[in-house]
Amino acid sequence: MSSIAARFQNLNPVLDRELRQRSRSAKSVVMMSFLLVLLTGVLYLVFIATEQNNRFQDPLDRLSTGVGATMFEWVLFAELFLLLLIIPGVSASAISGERDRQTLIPLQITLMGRNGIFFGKVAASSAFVLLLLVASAPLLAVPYLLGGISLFRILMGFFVTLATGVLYATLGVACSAFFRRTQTATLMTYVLVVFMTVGTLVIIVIMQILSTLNGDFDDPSVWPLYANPFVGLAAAAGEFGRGFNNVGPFSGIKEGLFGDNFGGQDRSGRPDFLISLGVQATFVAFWVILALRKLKLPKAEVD
Amino acid sequence: MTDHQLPPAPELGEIDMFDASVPADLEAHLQPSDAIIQARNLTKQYGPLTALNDFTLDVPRGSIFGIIGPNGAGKSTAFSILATLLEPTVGSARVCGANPVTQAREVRKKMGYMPDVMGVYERLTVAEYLQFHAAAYKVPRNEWPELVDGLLQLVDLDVKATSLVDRLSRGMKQRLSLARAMVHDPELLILDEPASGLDPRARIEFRELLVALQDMGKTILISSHILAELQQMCTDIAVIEAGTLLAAGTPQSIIDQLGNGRRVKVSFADGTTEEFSITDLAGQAELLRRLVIEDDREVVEFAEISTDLEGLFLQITQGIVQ
Repeated sequence: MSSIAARFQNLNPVLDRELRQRSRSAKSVVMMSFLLVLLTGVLYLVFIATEQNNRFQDPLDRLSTGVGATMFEWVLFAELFLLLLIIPGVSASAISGERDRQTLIPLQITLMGRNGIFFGKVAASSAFVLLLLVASAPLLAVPYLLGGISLFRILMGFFVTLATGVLYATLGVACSAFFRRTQTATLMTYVLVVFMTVGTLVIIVIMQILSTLNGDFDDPSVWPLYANPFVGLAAAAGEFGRGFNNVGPFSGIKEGLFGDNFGGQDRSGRPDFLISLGVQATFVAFWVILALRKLKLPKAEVD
Repeated sequence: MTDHQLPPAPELGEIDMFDASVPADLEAHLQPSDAIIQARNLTKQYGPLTALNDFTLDVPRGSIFGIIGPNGAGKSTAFSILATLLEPTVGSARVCGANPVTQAREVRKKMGYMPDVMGVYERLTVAEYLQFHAAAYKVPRNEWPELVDGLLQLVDLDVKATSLVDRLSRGMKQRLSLARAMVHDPELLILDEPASGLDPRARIEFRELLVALQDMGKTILISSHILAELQQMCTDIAVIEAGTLLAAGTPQSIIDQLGNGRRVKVSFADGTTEEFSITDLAGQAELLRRLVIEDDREVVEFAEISTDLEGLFLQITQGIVQ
């Protein structure tokens, strides 16, 4: 037996079972179709809008004005938005669902241990995120064919979206272990996602107001935005120096937060997407620790 | 306070207080024992509520040991502690030679647990369900086919191997749950109300299955509300109420120990009937002599009242918890 086959034979039992069950469920296909239809719609709308915007230009110049890059950024933006909408619904029932079905205790008294169960669930949710991303990968290839964007940027966008998806899948599983009921776990995961996306923006606005009230008119610190998944993805998939010509959402965010706004140069000098992923990972790790403590047996109290 | 130290096994009823002075070297203080479960002074408190109070029990290896008690008596709490799910507030235990709190993994290797409710997975066949648990118990993959076939034959579900688990009847699910608890060939099975909700036929089949497992050398700790059923299959029984163990031993020894001896019903010629307590056959003869000769009463019927476990259970428990 080859080592690869042997490795698959020793797959985490929870992951193995989840993949088997998921492959027999219509829910996965429905979700994937939902994602692909919406992303195709976004791709088409951005293409039409960009074409309209460039209609007075020479037809030969149109493609060179960054249509592909703009489409790529909007599709990736929509993809991350939809993933953050889908992932809590998929992952936040991972362990609480076992509890609801009365299957958690028989699983917990096996030799898998809490880490095996928890990370098996994380791997299963992450595998679904990967499946969604791979299924939608051809939509990211369309902008590449139109030109104006490098393969490196597309790959960076893909992998940072994947990493972000895995982090939020982990957060969902952690909430499902920490909160007893599936409804509570799902709700809390959405609350945390909103906190990371909208909440960090609110914090920046409050900081800006406070800074202005104190008579400090310099740019306030943007560090809370490192926790924002869109900012992390912008740092990886955006591009400096696009100016205002067909600028996509990520280049706009990147330029505004990390660029000098004039020469299109990197102001921070740091690998911002890695810092952003690190901040998000730290936040998720806090919940993972809480979740693993909750899964510890024997318990001092019954749930 | 939680203490995981285990003093030498005393006889039931001899323990007064938890002895916190026992040194940490447990093995040195354990007496050689046939008991596969040794529980000492297990107490579990939830705030002001005492779910289990000073629970001390020895379960002999190879026995079918039944625990009887009304709802809320503490059976499931005791089982949860022994099955490595719950920490006792006070007291300690040894299950298959290991401490269920500090050596939970060692206990799980040798113990199979069946909770009172059997949850199932959707879109999974019976064979896959057992394979999944075999993998979770780290049974080598090449042993799965033989293991699954053997278990399904044992619980009479071999024709259902490819059926979806969530389509099985309740009785079948219970049998499958028992098979699941045995995928790693444990020496001890802890079964919490396994027959609840089963129809009479399924109950009889389940009972026969447990007796067959005992013949295979398994020790079975079982709780049930069906007292007659436990009396028929259990070699040992313990009665628990309001978290306190009231009695333990063989069914007959409990009847003898707590049934205030034997009782006889005497009918007289004048149509009256009276009941008397006697200790043994000599007492029976003495009672008859006294009634007929000394009291000069005309006895038309003199019969011993049979005491079963159900009657005794009602007699010794007071219905404190419902």
